[in-house]
Order: sequence, then structure tokens, then C-alpha cells
Amino acid sequence: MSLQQRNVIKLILVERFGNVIADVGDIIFQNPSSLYTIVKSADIPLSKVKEALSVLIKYNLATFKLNTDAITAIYSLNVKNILLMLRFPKFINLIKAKFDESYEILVEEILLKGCLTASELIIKVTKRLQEQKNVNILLQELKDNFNSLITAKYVMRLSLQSLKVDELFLLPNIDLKEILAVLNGGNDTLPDAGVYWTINSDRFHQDLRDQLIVNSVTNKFDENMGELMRLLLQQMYVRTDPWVSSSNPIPILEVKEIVKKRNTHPQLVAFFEQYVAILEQDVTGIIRKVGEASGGSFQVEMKHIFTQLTWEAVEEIVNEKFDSKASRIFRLVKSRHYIEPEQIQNLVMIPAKEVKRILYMLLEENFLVVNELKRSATSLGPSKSFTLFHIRLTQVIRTMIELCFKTLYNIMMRRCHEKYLNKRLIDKKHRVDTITHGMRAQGISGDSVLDIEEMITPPENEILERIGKMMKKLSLTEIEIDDTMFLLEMYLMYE
Amino acid sequence: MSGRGRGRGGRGGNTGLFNREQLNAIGITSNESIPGPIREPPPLFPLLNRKPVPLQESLELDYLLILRQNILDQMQSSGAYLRMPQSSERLDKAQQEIDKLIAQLPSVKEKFDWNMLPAELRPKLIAKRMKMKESKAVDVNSRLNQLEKQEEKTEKAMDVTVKEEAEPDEEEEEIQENYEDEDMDDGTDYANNYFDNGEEYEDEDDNLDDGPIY
Repeated sequence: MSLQQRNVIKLILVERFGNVIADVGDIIFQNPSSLYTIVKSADIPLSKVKEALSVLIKYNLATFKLNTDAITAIYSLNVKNILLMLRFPKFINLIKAKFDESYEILVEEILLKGCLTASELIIKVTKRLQEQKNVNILLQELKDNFNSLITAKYVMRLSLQSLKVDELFLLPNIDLKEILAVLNGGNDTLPDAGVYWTINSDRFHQDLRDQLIVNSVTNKFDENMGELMRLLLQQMYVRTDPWVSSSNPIPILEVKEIVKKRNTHPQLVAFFEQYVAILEQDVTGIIRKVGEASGGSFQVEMKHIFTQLTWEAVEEIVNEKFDSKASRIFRLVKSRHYIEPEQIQNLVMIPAKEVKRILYMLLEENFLVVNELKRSATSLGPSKSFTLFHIRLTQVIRTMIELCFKTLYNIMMRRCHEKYLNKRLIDKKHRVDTITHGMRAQGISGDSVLDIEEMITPPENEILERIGKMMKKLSLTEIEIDDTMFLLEMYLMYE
Repeated sequence: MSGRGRGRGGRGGNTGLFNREQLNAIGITSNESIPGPIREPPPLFPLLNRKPVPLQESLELDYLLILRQNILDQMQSSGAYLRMPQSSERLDKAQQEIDKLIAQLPSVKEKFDWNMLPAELRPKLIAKRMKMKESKAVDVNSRLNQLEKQEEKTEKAMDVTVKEEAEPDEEEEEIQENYEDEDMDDGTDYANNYFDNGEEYEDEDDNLDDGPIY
């Protein structure tokens, strides 16, 4: 809860739901409040406020607590889920990489609608597939795909009462005949009305986490090591809950057999023992040997991995933000835990005055903290107290998350501003595109289409291109920052 | 350098943040000039000392960008994207007509399951319909109960299964009656949509009449 977070959330809502909902969201972000209070504090008609709240609740972005009269309620904003909306492209991409396109569309539709009943979802996806490619996708196939998304826990039931874990992933009762009837324009009473499904972000995060680990191992060592890590994680789930900080022991023979059977990485098969030994002896301590029996068994140290990755990220950020001298000092403080300024000056071999400047810069930006140890009054000596520099990682992480929010806000604001400045031009381009698209669809081509396309003059085209490039850059940054935030969130979760 | 200044503390010059002794302790000696307190806010667009590293582009990122744009476009054209109703004076008649037509499209209005939402959020018309449905349901239940009681009386047999069936029905009826009572309650009448700014009374009703019943 901070000003930066509030700004970011408001902009996310504006971009996806428009100003009305953003305003309502902003009010309930500040304080959970009743309908009456919201109408009083916003300059929006009652009917719109009601609609806005309904949309927010439907998308699981707001929650409500009924008062004792069971009619009125107190509404509050679900901040976590709103920030999650930035990660939606990654969720869809993940599903695409893991399954195939029809799964991707299923997940995309759920994300777009917030929550849906299974039958509604299948109807929607069928319609969309029919429009897109005229491919006759089998309803049965879609149903099976949806069911497998549920069994893999990517999708879960949404319910007001808290359900037990088993009930969350109970397969729905989908009647394909009824769906077919609806598709052919029949009645609209479906057997599973009132049973809503939404995505299970934890499951997606688990996959993103694994991807992050495999990628970092691949970057540090090589492809083969990445494959080894991937298989280790895969075998980890056989015996371990996904979110524990260090896994139960995994017998390495199991992994070896899989590697042999698949035979996709011949080098990994040939030098399997060596690869395992390197991974185990590496300073990062990703896996730890716990038993010698049957070739050895290993634990995956999740918490440790994320502490390491976060340290790396923090050091990199200090490096980029304050340059290499600062990161040298930062690393020194990290390795010594508590250190006096004089010692730092002696050890980093940078002129004393600059060391001081950098130290206080880091202190000012909350990357370092000062601990003061007072000596008791009886002892004599010139210095009365020690001043020790220290890094409090959790505090640094929080600072960095704030920084991320601030950057996100700046990026989004910039994008809005650019759009606003060039609104006329963008609208014009949009209109011309619609017209030419319509003409092509009707089979008209040649000069008349060119004529309309030429309504946008070359200088205008130049400006449009520049804007497009800038938008792309800003959006890319948004996606990248979300990656950093994900890493930091993971650290805080394991903490 | 910093060692020299030690023990000479306590001499003037105060920034308001640290006193001289503390400054000495963390290594600032008296012969270094201390900048005065800053009395103006930092600039709105400070100069960057370093240029950020350019982002690496890749096919995957491009696909993510497309997905992102896709989601945004679809969200903005869906019914969940609310617009403020424009004041009727500013619009000409033709525009109003178009707006009315657009409002009738099924994709423009978001569908809600009103059972999932607090009762106060229901639009007036739907609230009325739901109430009617409920009162009907009560009638059926009570009627069934009456019939069952009559049966019991006539048979004069204590059938366990009938009793079991009758009990939950009675409970349900009570709950629904309670609910109705609360609806009538004047204390919470702001929940029932009596508020009207007079601007778009007719518009709203029109739309709802044409929309499906959820």
C-alpha cells in the first residue's frame, strides 16, 4: 500500500476498464467503503457506480463483505489480482508453450472475462474458432481440453463460500448436447449455470518460477545443465509440495534414467555424473546432497535459489544505478555483513572522499542502513561509538518494489501522454485502416484502396512510426519490469 | 583523512539531520564543508546520469507484446469498459439514436450473475423481477408444505422420510420470508434504487427491457 502502487493500479484499471471503474477502484483502494460512500465521494451517477462495482467483482478485482442485513455490503479492492493483469500475456504464452493453441484460447477467454461457466466458455471458444479459421473443432475435444486444464489445476472454481481444496478442482458437468443446441440458436438453460471458473494464479506462478530457475541455470552453465535442472524439478513434484522451501530428497538415478530414455541431450547422457557434481559444488548451492545411497539423492533448495537470484538482481541494480564503484562497495558490505566506514575505505581501494560520497548515496537511497553501537560510558578512548554499515535485504527488496512501481507508473503515464498528444493522428490512422480493411474484404483492390491509404501523408506516417516504436519500447519495459517484480515477490514469499 | 578529525567534535555547523558528533563518527571531518540544507523540491524531470541499457528484443517478447495488445483491445471493446454517459444537451439527436442502438447490442452490456453480487447492486428492474420470482417460489413452497401437512394429518402415520423432507423446506421458507421483510425495511432503503438524477431515466429502462433476463 503506497502512493506509487495506487497510481499504478489506477492506470491499469483505466487502460482496461475505462475511467469510471478506475475512479471507483481508486476510492475503494483507499478505504473499503459502502455503496453510499462511494457515490458520495465520486462524481458518478449511482447506476454507473453499481455497474462498475459489479464488473470489478465479476473480474475478481474487488471483494465485498455483506452487512448483517444481507443486502448492503462493504467493498474493497483486490490489489494483488489487479497487478496480476500485467502478467496475463505471460500466462497465455506459458499455456501455449506447454499445450497447444486451443488451450491457449480457452485460457485467454477466461482471462478476458474474469470468470465463466464451463459451457459458456466452450460456446465462446467454439464461436471464435469458427470465425477465425472455419475449422470445425470438436466440442468433445474442447471439453477434454478444459477438463485437463482443471486437473492440471490451471483453472479453478470461483465461489463465494470457501471451498475445500478437492472441491475447487471438481470436474464440471458439461452437457455437449445442450451446448450444441445453444450454438444452433436453441434455449439457453445450461446444466452448469452458477458454477464459475477462473484461473489459478498460483499454478501459473509455479510454472513461471520453474522457468525462471531453468533459464538462470542455462545462462550460468549451458543447455544440458538447463535440461538437468528441468528434470530435477519435474521429479521434485513427485514427492514434494510445490511451494516448500526445500524439497524432499530426489534420487539422482531416477533423473538419469529419464535422461537416458529421452536421449535428447547426448552430452548430458555421456557426462551425467560430472554435470551433477558441478551443479552440486557450485557456490550458488542450488542442490544439496543429502544421501549417498544409490548414486546419491539431492534436495532442491528453492528458498536458497531465490535468495541468490535476488542478491544478483540487487547487485545488478546497484551497478546500473550507481555504477561499478558503488556495486563494489555494496558487495563488500554484503560479504562482511557489518562493516565500519574506515574498513571500507581501506579495502575497496577507492579514494576516501569518493567512498564516503558513494556510501551516503547508497544510504540515502535505502540500499544500506547504519547501525550505531554505543560503547558503555565507563570505557575510555577517543571514539565513543562504532558506526557499522549493513544491508537489510528485505528492506532493500521493498525499496526496489517501490522503485518498480514508480517506473511502471512513469512508463504508463508516458504512454497515456503520447496517446493523448497524438490522438487525432492515431484516430485517423485507425479509421483509414478500417476503411481499407473493409474494402479488401469486399474484394476491391488497386487504385481506390491506394487513394484512401494516401490520405495519411508521409510526414504523418513518419510520426506514426515514431509513436509505434516508442509504444513498443514502453510496453516492452512494462513486461520486463514485471519480470523483476515477479522475482522479488518470489523472494518475499519464501522469506 | 577521516581519522584526523576524530575527537575534535562538538564544533558548530548543523545540517539539522546529524549533529557534529554523529557526523564525526561516520567519518565527516570538520574541515570538509557541509552543504547547507536543501530548501526546494527536486526537479520534476531530473537529468539522468547514466543511460539505461537497451532492452533485448526477441521473438518471444514480440509475441508477448502482441498478446498484451490483443488483451487490451478486447477489454476496451468489451462491455466491461464503462464510459461516462454524456450529458444529453451536448449530443445531437442522431448521436443519441446511435447510442441507443449500440446499447442494445448483446456485447455492449456486461452480463452478471446477480446471485453472486450483493442485492444492492442490482438495477431496479432486475431487482423487481428477482423479487417477484422469489415471492412465487415462496408460494409454491408453502403450498407444498400445506399439502404435506394435510397428508400427514390424513394418514396419521409418523413417516420418517416425509418428516425429513418437510424440515428443510420450512427452513427455506423462513429464510426467504426474512429476506422479503428486509427488502421492505425502510432503514436500508438507499440500497433499493430510488435515486435518480432524472437524466437518463428512460434510457436505462429501455435498455433493460430489451436485454435478456439473467
